[in-house]
Amino acid sequence: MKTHKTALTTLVFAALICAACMAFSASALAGEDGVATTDSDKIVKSVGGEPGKSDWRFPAPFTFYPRGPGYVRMSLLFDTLTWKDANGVIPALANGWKVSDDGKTWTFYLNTDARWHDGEPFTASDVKFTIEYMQEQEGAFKWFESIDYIESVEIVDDYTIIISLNEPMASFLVDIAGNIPIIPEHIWSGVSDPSKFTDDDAVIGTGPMKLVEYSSAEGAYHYEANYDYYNGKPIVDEFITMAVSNAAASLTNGDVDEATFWGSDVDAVNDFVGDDDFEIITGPSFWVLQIIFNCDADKGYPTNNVTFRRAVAYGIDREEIVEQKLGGGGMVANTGILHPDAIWYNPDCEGYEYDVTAANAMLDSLGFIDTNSDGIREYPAGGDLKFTLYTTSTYLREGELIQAQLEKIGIAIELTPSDWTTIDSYLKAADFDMAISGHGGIANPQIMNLPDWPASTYDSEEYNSLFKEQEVTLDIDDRKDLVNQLQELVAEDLPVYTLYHPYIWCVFNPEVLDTWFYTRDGICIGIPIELNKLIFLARYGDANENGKINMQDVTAIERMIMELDDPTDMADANKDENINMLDVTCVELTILGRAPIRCE
Amino acid sequence: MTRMKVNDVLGSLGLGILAILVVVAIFAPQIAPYDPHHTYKRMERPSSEHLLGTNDIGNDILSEVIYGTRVSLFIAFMVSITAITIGTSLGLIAGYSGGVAEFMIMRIVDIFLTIPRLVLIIVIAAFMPRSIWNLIAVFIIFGWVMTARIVRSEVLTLRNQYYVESARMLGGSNLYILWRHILPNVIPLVVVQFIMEAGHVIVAEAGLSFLGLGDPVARSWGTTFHYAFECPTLYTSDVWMWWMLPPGLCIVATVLGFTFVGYALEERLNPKLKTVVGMEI
Repeated sequence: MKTHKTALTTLVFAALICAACMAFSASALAGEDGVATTDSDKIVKSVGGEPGKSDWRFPAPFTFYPRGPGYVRMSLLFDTLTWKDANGVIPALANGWKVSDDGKTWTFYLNTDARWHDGEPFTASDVKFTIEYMQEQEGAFKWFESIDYIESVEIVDDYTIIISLNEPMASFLVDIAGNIPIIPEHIWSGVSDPSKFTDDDAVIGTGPMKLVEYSSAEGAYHYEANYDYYNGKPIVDEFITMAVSNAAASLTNGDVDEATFWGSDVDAVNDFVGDDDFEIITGPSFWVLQIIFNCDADKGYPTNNVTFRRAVAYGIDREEIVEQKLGGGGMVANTGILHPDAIWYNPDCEGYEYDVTAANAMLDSLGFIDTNSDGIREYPAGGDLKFTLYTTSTYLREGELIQAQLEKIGIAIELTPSDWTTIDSYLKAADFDMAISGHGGIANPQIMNLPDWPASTYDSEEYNSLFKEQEVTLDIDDRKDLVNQLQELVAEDLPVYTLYHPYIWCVFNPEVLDTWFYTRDGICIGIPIELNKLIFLARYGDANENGKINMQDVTAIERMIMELDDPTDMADANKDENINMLDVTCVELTILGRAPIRCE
Repeated sequence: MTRMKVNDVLGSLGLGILAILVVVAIFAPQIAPYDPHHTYKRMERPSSEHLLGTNDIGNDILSEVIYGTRVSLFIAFMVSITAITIGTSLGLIAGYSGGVAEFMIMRIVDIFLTIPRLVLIIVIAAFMPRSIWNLIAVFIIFGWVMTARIVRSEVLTLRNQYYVESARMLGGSNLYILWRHILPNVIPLVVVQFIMEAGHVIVAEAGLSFLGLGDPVARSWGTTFHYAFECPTLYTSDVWMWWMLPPGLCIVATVLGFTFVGYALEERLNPKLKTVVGMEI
């Protein structure tokens, strides 16, 4: 860090001298026109949540807050073997890879140009070290981990590595290779308690950004570009993400250049429609809000009865919730959980269209009859059919709507707001009736480990064996079939009843940065956030260096070949140091979502 | 004499405001144009159908504010009645009996008085299940203290009055003396305390609900305020005019009503303030 700073200072100094010399000579030559023009730093500011709710902790691999925003803030500093862009998996620290026929042996060919922020070269031993360190420090990496699948790591040479798995893992390339941040051996080999290591050295990675400052109190993260990045040229000099109390007002005032809006924020987004100063992109949130039922055989009566759960499902008008709470800023959820934009989506799950008659008939058949005509049904043994519905204060409005809807089928709901930690403990102890909660990551079947979380009271052998089976099925069609069955089972058994998928919008000022995009199936394991590190880079293939790879780049490269335009580094899409028709093909493949991967 | 007149005007004004609010609260179902839980098209601007528009989930805001009167006043009256009863009883006991009971009660009062009330209420409310009854309980815990202290000091002077001593010498029991001779004399003070306390509770409840610590299902003015504040377009459009302003004005009006009545009564009833009344403005 220190040597690097000195180097940087020297560099800046040298640049200043050069600029001064040029200015001098230019002015000497050209008289009054001779003022050196240097681009001022490009600083991008983005909204990182609300004050008090957006501290995602120190962005080192073992200290970040284990939710999407925490991971993303860390991922700007640390690279993984693979990564994802708008079209799918792309190379990162690994240039290419191949997999053995049994799906257990993965060979990765590493990037030879990658360097740590402190200047040390990145090699295969760092990868081996990272995996072994994470296995050794079990549980220290609090994020989604399937690292137990890895049996051994073997170094072939400095830039080739073989990872062997215990069992084939269908989602290895995303869930492990695209998830585990590679850490530098020369720093972490001396760290015995990684969760307490928060020195300057703890944020030395290979990523396109370097950490300047992190403020816990303000939820602010300040990054600067890593100009030595191996995988593209930074197009931004500094990046700041911070907590802001009203995102729409801050955008309008120009205090920030980008903000994310969700679901019911649709009103704010609509104000930006037609505003020439801003652009809006929309993406799938890969997020679902759901009601969790207590399915415990002993403590869950009557929510452990599937007919009762179906009656509740018929009694909830999901369309009304989407319309009234989200103002149309979302869609009725897939009852089988996975998002309709995910490749694993099963469109044939039971939808439980709002049907009061069906709900009433089911409740009658269970013996819940309103005997005293107070509008609320009674248990066969007496007593009102009344339930506690837990939720966090964020989803109270949804709770209120559900309360009003269920009252119409004679079920009384006591709406009880609480904090998530408390609700979570009730869920684990099977000490609840129903709870409303939401989660992301629903582009990835791995999220459907419902008996682990959140439906820990749901105990179905059929479900568990299906889940286990899809985890190790390599053939994509076979796995898709299993994941379809899994979704149908959720829709049938209803351990959880999904309510809606909100839409998500990114509103930004294109003058400052216009490369924002939504990652295919979400960043990493499915994080529906627009803060993909690639937005800060001009990537190879991006011939006109506007941050986007599209047909304009093909035209640009063709013009360069015909010597109509000056060639740029970035036009060399396949990085063979020649600009020729191969680069055009390479860009076209990238647009088609088939990024060239070197396989031997 | 001008001073007295000003007070009378303010007092009647306050009484008028309170009377209107009580009528609105009692006849809310008749006055409100819609059921506050029924949903219509959301985020509507004011129109002839919805005079104050609709909120984020399509409830009629006017109806919500009208029903909110019920919740806010109910909490205020419940808390005031209970807290004042407790405070008066403890004040009477402390002042009349003296000794250990007085010492104990007055030390508790001292402790409560040193604690910043609203801050502690916020802390307690944050850890409790959100319900209207819990809210009432928390306000009562802190509501009786001032009354107890004021009543006690008044009783201290009253108990040494000749008529009280005569009653005692003639064989009047303690209970009889407290009931017949002391209580009637502290009642004016207690009434003023009641009014003041109700005003305090209205503000405190609105504050807690605004912070999201109130009962979310009981739509008090504070709750309406809370949801208005969460609206993403609050600062960039004029939504605040019909969503935030009405409940805010209601809170202000109610507190003013209680305060006016309280001051007017205090000047009339509190013997200690009567000496100051001669001052002209």
